[in-house]
Amino acid sequence: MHALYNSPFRIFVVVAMFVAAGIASALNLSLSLYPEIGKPLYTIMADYEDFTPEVFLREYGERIENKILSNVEVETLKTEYTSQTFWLKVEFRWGVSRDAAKKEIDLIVSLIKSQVPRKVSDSVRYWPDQGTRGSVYIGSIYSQKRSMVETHRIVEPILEPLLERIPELDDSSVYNPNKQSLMIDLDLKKAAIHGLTPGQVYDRLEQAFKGISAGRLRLGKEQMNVLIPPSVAAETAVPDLQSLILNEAGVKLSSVAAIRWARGEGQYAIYRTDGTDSLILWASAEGGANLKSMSDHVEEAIAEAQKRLPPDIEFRPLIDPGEYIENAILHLIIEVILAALIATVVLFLCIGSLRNTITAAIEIPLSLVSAFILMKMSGLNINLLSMGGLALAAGMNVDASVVVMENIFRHMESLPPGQQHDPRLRLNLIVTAVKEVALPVATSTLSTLAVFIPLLMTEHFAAAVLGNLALTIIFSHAFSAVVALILVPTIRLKIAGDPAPTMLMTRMSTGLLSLLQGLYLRMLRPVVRHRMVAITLVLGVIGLFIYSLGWILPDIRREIISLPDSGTLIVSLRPTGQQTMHDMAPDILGYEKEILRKYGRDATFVFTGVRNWNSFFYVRLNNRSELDRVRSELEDLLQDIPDYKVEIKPWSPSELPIPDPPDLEVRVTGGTSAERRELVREAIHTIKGERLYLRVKSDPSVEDYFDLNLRPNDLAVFELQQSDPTFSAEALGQLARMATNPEGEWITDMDHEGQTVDVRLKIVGAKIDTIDDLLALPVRQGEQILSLRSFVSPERRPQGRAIYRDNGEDVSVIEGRLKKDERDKKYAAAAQVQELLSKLPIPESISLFTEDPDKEFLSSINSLKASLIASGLIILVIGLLQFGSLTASLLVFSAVPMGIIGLVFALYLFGSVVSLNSLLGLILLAGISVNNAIIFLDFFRRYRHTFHSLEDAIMDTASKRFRPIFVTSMTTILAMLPIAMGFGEGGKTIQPLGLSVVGGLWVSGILTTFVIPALLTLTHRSGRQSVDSPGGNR
Amino acid sequence: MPSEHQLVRWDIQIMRTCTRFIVCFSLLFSLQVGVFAPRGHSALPETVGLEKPGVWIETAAYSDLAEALTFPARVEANVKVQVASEINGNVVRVLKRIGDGVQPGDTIAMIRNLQTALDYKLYRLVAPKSTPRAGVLTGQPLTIGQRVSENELLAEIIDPTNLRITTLVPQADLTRIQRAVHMTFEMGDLNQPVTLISISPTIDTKTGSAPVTLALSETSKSNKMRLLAPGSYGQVRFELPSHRSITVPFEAVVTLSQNRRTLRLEKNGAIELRDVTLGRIRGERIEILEGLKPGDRIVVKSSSYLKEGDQVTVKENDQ
Repeated sequence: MHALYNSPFRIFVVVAMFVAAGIASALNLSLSLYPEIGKPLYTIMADYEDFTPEVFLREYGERIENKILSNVEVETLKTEYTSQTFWLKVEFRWGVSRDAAKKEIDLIVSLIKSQVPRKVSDSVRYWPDQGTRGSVYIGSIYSQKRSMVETHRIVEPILEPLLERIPELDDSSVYNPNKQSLMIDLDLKKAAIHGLTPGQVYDRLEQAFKGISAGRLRLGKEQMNVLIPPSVAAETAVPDLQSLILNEAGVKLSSVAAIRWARGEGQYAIYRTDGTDSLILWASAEGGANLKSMSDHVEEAIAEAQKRLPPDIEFRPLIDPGEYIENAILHLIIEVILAALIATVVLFLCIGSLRNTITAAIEIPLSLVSAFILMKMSGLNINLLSMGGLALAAGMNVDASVVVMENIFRHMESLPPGQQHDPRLRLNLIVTAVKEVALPVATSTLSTLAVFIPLLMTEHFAAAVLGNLALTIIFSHAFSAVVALILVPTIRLKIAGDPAPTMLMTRMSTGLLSLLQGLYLRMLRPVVRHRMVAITLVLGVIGLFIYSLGWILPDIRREIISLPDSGTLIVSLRPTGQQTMHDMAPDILGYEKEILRKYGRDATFVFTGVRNWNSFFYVRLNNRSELDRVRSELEDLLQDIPDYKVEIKPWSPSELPIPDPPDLEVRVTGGTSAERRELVREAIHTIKGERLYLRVKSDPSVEDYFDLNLRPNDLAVFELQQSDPTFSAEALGQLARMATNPEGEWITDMDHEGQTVDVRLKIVGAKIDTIDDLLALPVRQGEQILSLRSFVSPERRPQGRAIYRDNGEDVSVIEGRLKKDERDKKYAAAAQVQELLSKLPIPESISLFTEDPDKEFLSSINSLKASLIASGLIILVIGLLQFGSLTASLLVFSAVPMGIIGLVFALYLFGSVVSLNSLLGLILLAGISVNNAIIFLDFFRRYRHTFHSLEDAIMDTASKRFRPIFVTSMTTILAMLPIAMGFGEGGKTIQPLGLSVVGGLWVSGILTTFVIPALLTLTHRSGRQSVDSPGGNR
Repeated sequence: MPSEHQLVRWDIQIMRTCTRFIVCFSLLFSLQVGVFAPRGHSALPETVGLEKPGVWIETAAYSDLAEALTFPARVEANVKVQVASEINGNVVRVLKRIGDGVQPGDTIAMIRNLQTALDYKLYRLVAPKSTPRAGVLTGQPLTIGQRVSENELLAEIIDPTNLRITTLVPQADLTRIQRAVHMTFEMGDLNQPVTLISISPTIDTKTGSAPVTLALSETSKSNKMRLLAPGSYGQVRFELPSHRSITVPFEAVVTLSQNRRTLRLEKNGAIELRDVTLGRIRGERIEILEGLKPGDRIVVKSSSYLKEGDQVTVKENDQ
């Protein structure tokens, strides 16, 4: 040790290398909003046209489900068997990596393929589920000089290849405002006269666009590919098509069809920014991909493209997850720095000279550095939770240094003034001082960390998310002991100087401290002196504890984890019926106008999209704090519109599938599926009638959907097949399908003037508005032309009932969601529903079960329950080991309930929520708050035997320990204040954590200093104490 | 000798036990009561939506429902005179071209006889007596030098102003089309009223359909321009007698249970549910057979879910 402290150069070199490694690690860490721990979710689907849902389930489904459920990595399996398709939603456990999930899903898919008939197995498709709506980058492209069409023509060929190279992207496109299609309008009657069915024309066209390879020919050294070129070449597509011969009679396409360039119907969408049509770049990330790097790559691609594009073409990001994540993390980094500064200032105010403050504060950056290195090594990245952990630890980290330094001072003060500059003496003295506190510093650090260990061993969402926070606290805090024991003494040795307070500020703070100490001692004396006062105090605290848990805690809002703040709202409008984009456009643009009128001034932009089957607004507000007001106003504005299902959510680019359970969940099991269906339908009408919930739906849906069955007149079809072998029911189906497809059947993609256009075959001259129109379609048979009606008879039938299964069990689930600001009332609403449902005539075989609306919350709490109890036990065991007495360890433990009182009050007063983070706060709090009790008790037991009266012993301990307890508590509390305030986008997420620790420490700090002496008074006999061995801390 | 203060005092012993007990109990209590207990005393959420949801109303009324059946149909000539050669020989002269008007007795072509036994060398192909006044030559064009044989069909003469329409109607629809009140033949922009002439008493086994013949009225005048060529395709539309019934849009019907379909009616600002029996689909609407009277005010759309007795505001009257 002498050698270590005496060779500062070596230590400084090591420290310098260490810092360099830390900075390198920090710069190399990837960035994301939440820890990159997921819960992979895959969807598998396949078609089984030949089976009914019941038969397929019995023959194959059940076996497949059982096999999948026996896979240990799979957590839940939801299956739905609809009239023609089955869907499997496989959800893996928390913490299963994307690669592992991919491997498992490949196995599952090959298993399914091996089980089902060939035709079904060919149709199996599967994909990872997209994350939230936040996983998309949207930018607008504009030019002052050019039209949208022209801009697109220039931008697309340059930007699209660059975007295609980005690995995180699932899909990207520069929306083409004027996408062209080559339309072939087939006149059905003309075709029928020439004896051509639309199917034959389609097949011929498909073939005409394909070239045929005819091998290779070697001529001497040369080799030539032999080709039969396609009949239609891209450059001369229109004339080629016009003269395309369709059959042996030499009928040309031009005599049955018109060929024209048309705006591509299938691609059509309206995108508008602030009410004007815009050219939009749309890039959506693959499920689970890192959104920050996705955004970065997209922006790199844009920057790269801009170098090659004319300068008048500009880009403006509208929705940029990367920027958002960066800001959220940046705010937290500022909080970390702020926490460090606050801790330093508090240290300076409390301990005196600037030099000493710096010596103690050097710990903070070094702990960060160590944390970064360990994070890099263990594969953590920079996210809201890991940064939150660093910010939380900043204040705690100086404690060890403070203790070491204080001890060195104490020993130095004992030296005669003349010898203070003798290096050998100083060295010996420092070694002695450090040796004296080495063990307590190490154990107290360990005890703070030990409480987190059970947390790391749990599974579930809670641990997956909070694990990062716990790990970073451990990483940075563990190292603080090392710094305190090695670096602090080394520096201290080099700094020769007067440790006594020299500045005015310090004198003032010392004065203030003495004042507080005096006040405290005066208040403590009656507690120690009078038994009744002590009993009253203890009983009062117990009463307060019970009151806070039984009455205040239930009133605090609960959330699994608070979402980060967002300044952008997504309003999504889905049509209730089958309205297409054209039907929706007038409505949506009307609402756009309304939104722009009301919020145009509050919003940075309003981005509108109208697409088939869904429309949306993105409203970016200038001021994030307006979000809740605007959201609730928009809910009021839009909830009363007919024809659309409206959903309003804050935009948040999170890769993490944070559970978002419904406010009402009723599970209906037993009975036949038809019985269940009727009951669910009735239940839904009853629940909807109360109008408590914003949305009510069921799985499977009970809405009536109808099919139009065209039942073939088999005899007619057979007879026809005799005279025309190509004729079949399939041909009739193809005819009807093509005639009812308003966008035309896609034939092929083709390059045309540098752009990709699609070629489509569309049937004209047969407008189909009614069933009769469909049945009037002409079908040629020999010399005659008949109507479709001659071969089929129509029948409107309810669609086959879907079967819905949850982990292999037949079930119908009713779900309800309340308005956002009324979610606190979900218990009352669920109780109301339960009462209403109990009045329904429920068949005996069916059971109806209303889930606890907090089920998801409780299950995450339950997963933490074990670690909470384990942490409590660890604290008790540490107490036992240190003091060798159960009473003493229980006394130490009594700091925990006092912390809980503070925690509950803080959460309540600041309107925060009970969430996973506040429970983590509880664990952290337990670790820190018992430290004060340990310090107090340790001192008391060490010096108890030197006093005659118990009162004197307690008072002496109180007066000696007041200062260190006060200083360490203040640094920890004040350093956590920035987190407790919840600044920045990400602030909301860890705010409950900061609040609970700050509140808990305040209260436990104050209460421990009174309650522990009171408990000591009550549990120890007065007079000289000798039964318990003094100084149990051996 | 144990001094007094070395004895464990009973009150301290009790106090210790109590403290331990209370600490343990309160911790358990905290976990059970605080975190896990439901929140008991919260109020019900406010109802979603406006106090009085907006409704869009339509007043029930009888309307004449026209139903129509459409079939592909072909134009045919009523008169078709066929001219055949009576000898074997070669065509030497063509006097009438395809599309030319032909009167009875007109020579269409000259054919040289190849059989020397006969007493004349040139044979005239003549339009027969049955040729209509407005006859027009159709069929395959004749070529000079073309070899023709005895009884070979060489020309057809039709009357383009005397046309009929034929179509094939599936068995199931035959009785329905007989009830048709109005029939039209449609081809492109052309729209001609037609009348039913005959329905074949036999069904073609191949197609399960019977040929139906219709007459074009006013053909002679309108077809001066020869818009209708025999052989061309269009469609025949049979409009069936309309019958009076009440229809409502699809979305107005609410399925309360499998056997219970209801309409929501608005009466003096309140909702009344009315069970109805549904009929057939008519385009985008559905026929109501029972349960609805003319004048009932039907809710077609509403801004939120409605149940019996709910108060509503009428947003729009679809009259």
